[in-house]
Amino acid sequence: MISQIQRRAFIIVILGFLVAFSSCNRQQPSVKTVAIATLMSHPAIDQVAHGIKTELDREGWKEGINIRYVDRNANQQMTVVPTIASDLAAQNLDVIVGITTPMAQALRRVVKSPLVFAAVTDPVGAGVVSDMTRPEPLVTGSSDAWPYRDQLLLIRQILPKAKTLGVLYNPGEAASQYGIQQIRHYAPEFSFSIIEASANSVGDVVPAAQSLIGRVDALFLSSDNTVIGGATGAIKVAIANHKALFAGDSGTVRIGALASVSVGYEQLGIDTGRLVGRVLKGEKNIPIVVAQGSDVYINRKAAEMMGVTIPQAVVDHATKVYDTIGQ
Amino acid sequence: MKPIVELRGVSHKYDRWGCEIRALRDLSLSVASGEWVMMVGPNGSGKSTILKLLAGELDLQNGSILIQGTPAADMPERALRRFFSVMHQDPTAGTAATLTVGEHLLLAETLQTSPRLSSSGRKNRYSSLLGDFHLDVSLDQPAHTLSGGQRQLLTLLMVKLREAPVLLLDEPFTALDVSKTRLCFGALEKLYAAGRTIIFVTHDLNEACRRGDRTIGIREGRVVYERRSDSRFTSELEQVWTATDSVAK
Amino acid sequence: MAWTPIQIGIAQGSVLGWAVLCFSMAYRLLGFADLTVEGSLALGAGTYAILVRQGFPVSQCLLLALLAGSLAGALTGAIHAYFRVNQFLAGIIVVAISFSSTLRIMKGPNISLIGRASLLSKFGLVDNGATQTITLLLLLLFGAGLLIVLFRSKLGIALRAVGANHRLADELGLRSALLIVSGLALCNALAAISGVLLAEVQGFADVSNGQGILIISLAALTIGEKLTPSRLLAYPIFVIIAALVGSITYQVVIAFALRLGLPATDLRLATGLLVLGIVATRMRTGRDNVLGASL
Repeated sequence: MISQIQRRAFIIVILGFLVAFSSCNRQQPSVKTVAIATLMSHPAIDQVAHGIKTELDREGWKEGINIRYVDRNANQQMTVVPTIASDLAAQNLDVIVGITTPMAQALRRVVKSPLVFAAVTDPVGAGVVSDMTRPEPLVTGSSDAWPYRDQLLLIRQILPKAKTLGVLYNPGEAASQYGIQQIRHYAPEFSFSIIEASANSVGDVVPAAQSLIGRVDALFLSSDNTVIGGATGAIKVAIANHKALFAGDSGTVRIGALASVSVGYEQLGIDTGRLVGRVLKGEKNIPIVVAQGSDVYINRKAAEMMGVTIPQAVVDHATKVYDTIGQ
Repeated sequence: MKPIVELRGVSHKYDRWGCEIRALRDLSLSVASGEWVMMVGPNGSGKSTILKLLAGELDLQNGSILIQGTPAADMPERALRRFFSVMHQDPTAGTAATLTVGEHLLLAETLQTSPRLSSSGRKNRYSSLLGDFHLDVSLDQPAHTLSGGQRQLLTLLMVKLREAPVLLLDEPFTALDVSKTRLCFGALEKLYAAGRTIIFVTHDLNEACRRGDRTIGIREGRVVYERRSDSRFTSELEQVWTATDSVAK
Repeated sequence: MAWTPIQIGIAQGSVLGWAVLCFSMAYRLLGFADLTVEGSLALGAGTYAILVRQGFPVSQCLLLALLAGSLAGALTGAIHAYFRVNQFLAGIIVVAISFSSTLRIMKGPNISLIGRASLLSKFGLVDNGATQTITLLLLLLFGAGLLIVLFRSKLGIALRAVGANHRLADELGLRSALLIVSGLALCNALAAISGVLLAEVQGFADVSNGQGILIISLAALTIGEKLTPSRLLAYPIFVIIAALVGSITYQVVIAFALRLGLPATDLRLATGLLVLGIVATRMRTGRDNVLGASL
């Protein structure tokens, strides 16, 4: 067994490493640091992060030369969120980008550097800003308020005879609560009746989808983190039962949802990137960008497997047509 | 004089995992206040079941149990629990591993209705109590650091402090060495002299006849022997024991 | 500055320390593997947040949050003691009930407290700085002190007796069922305090705030019991101090791991390895402590 002295030496060496490492982040004044922090990863969020970096690169911020990124991901652990926020607040960063509502909220609470939130559906409700129309000096960002009405219109166009729509969502996510209210609000206009099924975790998505199958004409996946995380399972259930499944975001169409009128998350990322660029140049009081989502995405392979024919008019107007079911 | 504890026509069976065990068959027994009864019987004869029924650990299935003339079922549970003090064969049953010696004694002492004794003299009282029994442990030691024998002694000390009228002892001293056993019996004699009722279960025939006021032999859930305790009766008890058919009194 | 991860870890460790105390005290002192903490933490946070939002005085909000947490704990105890349901299942049932209750109380899954008059702002601390960290730590130490006093008292001994030897407690005539219910009510009131502080520090209450607190508590318990010297301390004091030490150490480890910028996927692995490292360097070569071996 190791002796006492060797044990002590081991601990000291480890601690020494940690101290050295964490002191190592000295910046050169000409390199800007941008942090990108999120609660979790999934296709839509990843598209935003990618869009931000793509846009910044296009504007001349080359990684390693004049910009450095600090990426943080809480991996769905809510208890790590405040720690990440405190950690970023303690470093001298030029801009902090917060993706997803909880991360944006935690950052808003503690950071003093300029904050850019991304893809927060209801920034006022979340307390990140107090007024959408009056820009704040150090806080700006993008909001992905989804085009619920257009989504329902698209469903009606593709399925003229459908009566009942089954909606999957996680009541535990703020954005979804807002979303379901909007769906209920617009449904009568298109003669839809709505049946809801809730999924509190990614593992609940498949059972929720199965519970809807017999009772509805089509399924709709709300764009909350939980449901998107479990989308593949729901898509499988839909295909096996020849039921149409629609999604609220484009990423899910790529992996097999039939269609979506979506916020283009890549575009949202680019718009957010533009905001970051402006902040880096020293601008303040920048207005919030609300996503103009009217891009229609469809997946013909999914349509074929679900037994649905998409009207040619819809295909012609689509922004993007997928012919395979992606990973 | 009403008997302090009485069982009338008590039958009990254990019904579990597909097998039915008749532990007690229509057993009747009465113990007078202040009496010391030795209960002896082979393993599985039902003696432990009797103690468990009295202590309230098992629910009565058949027959009745009377405490000072009142049916036990009519007594509130806490009063019933406070009426008996139990000592088991297993030293870990009567003590709690993470509580200290002092805490055990404190619990025992404060859980009865007699007038409160002041807390200032407590430490000294407990220390002298430990000294009387040659229990060489500190009040702040947790019970798991005590040996099995020491834990049994601690249990006995708790019994002494609790002042419950009836003591139910189930082969309590088997884990102790000779000198400690003598000490314990000495303590038991003192408690007996002070008026407590003792029901002592053992499987040692000699001991059963030698000590106490009355010896009761239990076999296959029935009373098969009942005599005034006297060592001269040991061989008679032995004969009853080795008899192949069970003999009712 | 290397000091900052330590400071962040102490702050978050002090916030979650109450919930770790809830778990440790229930498990080690009451002999109850209580899973309720996952629900009572969020319940406390949510109750507090909705009341603050509606303008009630902060002290009332805090009190009601504590009440909510203790009700959850009491319910678990009652389901176990009176309906004879096993400990784990009782806790799970109450977590499920708490989740739905929290959603209803909050009228939604998330409430923002940014920019609101709050507990911490009353003390003039809104900042993320050293003052806030020290205050949180002192609060936790104060609470721990009170708990130590409680568990050395007669009531505390009775509670511990029920946990250490249930049969003995019954034999002595202790009201075991009532004691379990009260004990768990107390523990989960503590978890609610964690919820309140979490809502204050992070600026919002979310119904999923409690997720993962069980793993954190187990890790904190293990680390703390290895790092705290057991020889000189009475058992209840040992358990309480170990909970604090473990909670803070674990959060410091996480803060360092984050500061090192480890890739997201490796964060949990890194924390796991660091925990193992701490535990391994404290392994005794001789006969293992009777109590230490049991988890």
